[in-house]
Amino acid sequence: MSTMDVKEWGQLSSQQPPTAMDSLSVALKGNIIPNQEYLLQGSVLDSAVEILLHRLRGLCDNVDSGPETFHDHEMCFSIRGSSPQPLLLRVRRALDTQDAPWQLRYIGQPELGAPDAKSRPTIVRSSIDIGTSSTVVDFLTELGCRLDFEYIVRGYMFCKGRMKITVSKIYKMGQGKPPESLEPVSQSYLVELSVLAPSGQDAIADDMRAFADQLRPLVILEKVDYKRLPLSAMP
Amino acid sequence: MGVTVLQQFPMGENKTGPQTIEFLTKRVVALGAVQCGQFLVDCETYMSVPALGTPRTVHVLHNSEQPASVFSLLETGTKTIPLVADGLFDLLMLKMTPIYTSKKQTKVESKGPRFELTDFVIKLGSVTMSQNFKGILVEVEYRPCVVPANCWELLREFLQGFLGTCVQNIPPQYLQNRMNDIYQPMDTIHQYLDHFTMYRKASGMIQYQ
Amino acid sequence: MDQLYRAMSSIKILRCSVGEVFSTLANGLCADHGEEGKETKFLLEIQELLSSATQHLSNMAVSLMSQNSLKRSHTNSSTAKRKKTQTSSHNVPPQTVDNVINSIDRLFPDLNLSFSRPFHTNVVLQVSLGQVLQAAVAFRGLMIEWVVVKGYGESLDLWTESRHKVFRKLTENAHAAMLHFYSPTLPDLAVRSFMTWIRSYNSLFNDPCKRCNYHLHSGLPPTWRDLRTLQPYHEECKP
Repeated sequence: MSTMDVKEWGQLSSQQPPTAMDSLSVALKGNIIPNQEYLLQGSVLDSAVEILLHRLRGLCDNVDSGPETFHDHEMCFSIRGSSPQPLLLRVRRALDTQDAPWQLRYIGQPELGAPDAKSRPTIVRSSIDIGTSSTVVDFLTELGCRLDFEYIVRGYMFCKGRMKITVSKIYKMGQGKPPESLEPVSQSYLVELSVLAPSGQDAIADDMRAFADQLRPLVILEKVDYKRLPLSAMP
Repeated sequence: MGVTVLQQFPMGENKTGPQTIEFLTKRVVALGAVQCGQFLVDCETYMSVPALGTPRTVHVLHNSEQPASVFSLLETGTKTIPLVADGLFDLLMLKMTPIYTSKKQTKVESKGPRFELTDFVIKLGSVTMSQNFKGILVEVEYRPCVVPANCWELLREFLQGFLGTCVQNIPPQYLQNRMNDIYQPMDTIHQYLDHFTMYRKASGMIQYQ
Repeated sequence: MDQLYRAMSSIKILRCSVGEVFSTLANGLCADHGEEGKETKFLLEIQELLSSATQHLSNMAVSLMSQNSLKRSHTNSSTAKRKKTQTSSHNVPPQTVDNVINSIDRLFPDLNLSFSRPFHTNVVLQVSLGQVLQAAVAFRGLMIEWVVVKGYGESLDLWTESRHKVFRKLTENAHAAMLHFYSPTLPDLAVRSFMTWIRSYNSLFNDPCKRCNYHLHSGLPPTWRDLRTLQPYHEECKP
């Protein structure tokens, strides 16, 4: 459609700016949009987390001021249209910085059905990360999304090349309590190793597996099959 | 971004769209403006599926002046919620197609040459809806000022100088309640949506009264 | 005769101090400066010589320029007394500078002043006038040395100019005003006058030119404010 318009109205001047959808299609075709997440997860008890942090500090990219900390509030929404499968969306905002953009995340179902899924070293799922203004929660609510649950998460973040490793503790929502007296959900830390990359770069999964092996036996990072989690563990 | 106003320009009796753009270009260049590329503002509208309950509309707009952003306005009938997001928001809307469907035939664009004159940016837009020409929409931005109340008179003087009597003495409806607020790129998007909605409702081209 | 004698001796003092500056610069670093921190010592020496030369120059300039107006008491005092007790706009204690700035801040509610001392004792003042403009003003003691005017929302520093032509013009005009209001004998009045003049720009986009009654001329609003009446004029409409 836009090429026809250029011929009709373009006599006066130079190149038309490409439409945003055109740029997006080109980017998708060129496979440069990071829309896949490769993920491994595990956990460590509170008593063992210091040793893990120490090991990670040694293995990961150096940051002079110590590992980066984060303190976020995450909300999980779902929206149901005419199909039975709801669409899941997550919103995350920083509690320790002012004026940071909010993060809207679409996470697809993990590719467990694919023929070679069982042999894949990591979970692979579609993931779109979008920076947004702070009106996103109102926007999603009026869009028809329902807030399923929310929590506070606090922890440390490490990087090794493209890999991101987070060691975090999840807390129940405060209801006006000061941050220090929030109740943790468990006596352990969640450890996640992830990479966001364009689809088809499966070699990353092998690098992740190799790195995860370096953290044994402090923490065992593996693929978690959500369907096989016991019902009593669900919120 | 400085205070920006949009002004529809009525076409003469026997003139076509391109002829009017050429006429306005000559005027703007005579004032000393220099052409700096082209601009494009487009709008696609999505409607909620009946299964979702009360009908809702999502307008997704892009402005070549802010190429890394996607602007979105959600209309519920009682309120309008704005959202500014980065480029991947379009990808999310694609994933939402089972819930929000796009009426492709109502996609509207304004595009054309972009000029700079001292601290002003002037855009001469031809508005089209599915390849049908709808009218001429001129955008003028005065970059140094961010409060509409401070520079409305200055902008009016400038607009009337090269567009003539089609420019009213009072500010555009959208700005009237926001004269003392700091101007944001989303305010320009709101103004474009107001004009695009007018163009969509009109069956043919807008005849200015 | 007496005045001529005084003028000649002032010139001699000035030439001496300027000559010292040049000869020290020409000699460069030498053994006198020792081994450690010699560059700092050298720079401090040059700085002292320059400030005393400027002081002599400004004292002389003031006495020369005030010759034709009403006789003021200080031109009759002896040269020795002048050197010791005259208020110097450079060597003012930091507390005095703070007090002057705070009093101006209180005087004008729409003018927001905040300052820092990134260069040891000398103040860099950040001025914000409503949501119209901001300015960075560099002081030496109570004397204004440099001004940059930029728009609301632009990053404010002393080194980069505004991306808007109107504020670049205002920066030029601010330099002219700065020189006009300069007074080594009444430095706090000079700063107050300058700030009052800057504050008159809160109507930069609102008020038309007093002479032609239009807002715009060559794409710019009235960028000049008369130094006495504070009325707005276009560059081309200045009386």
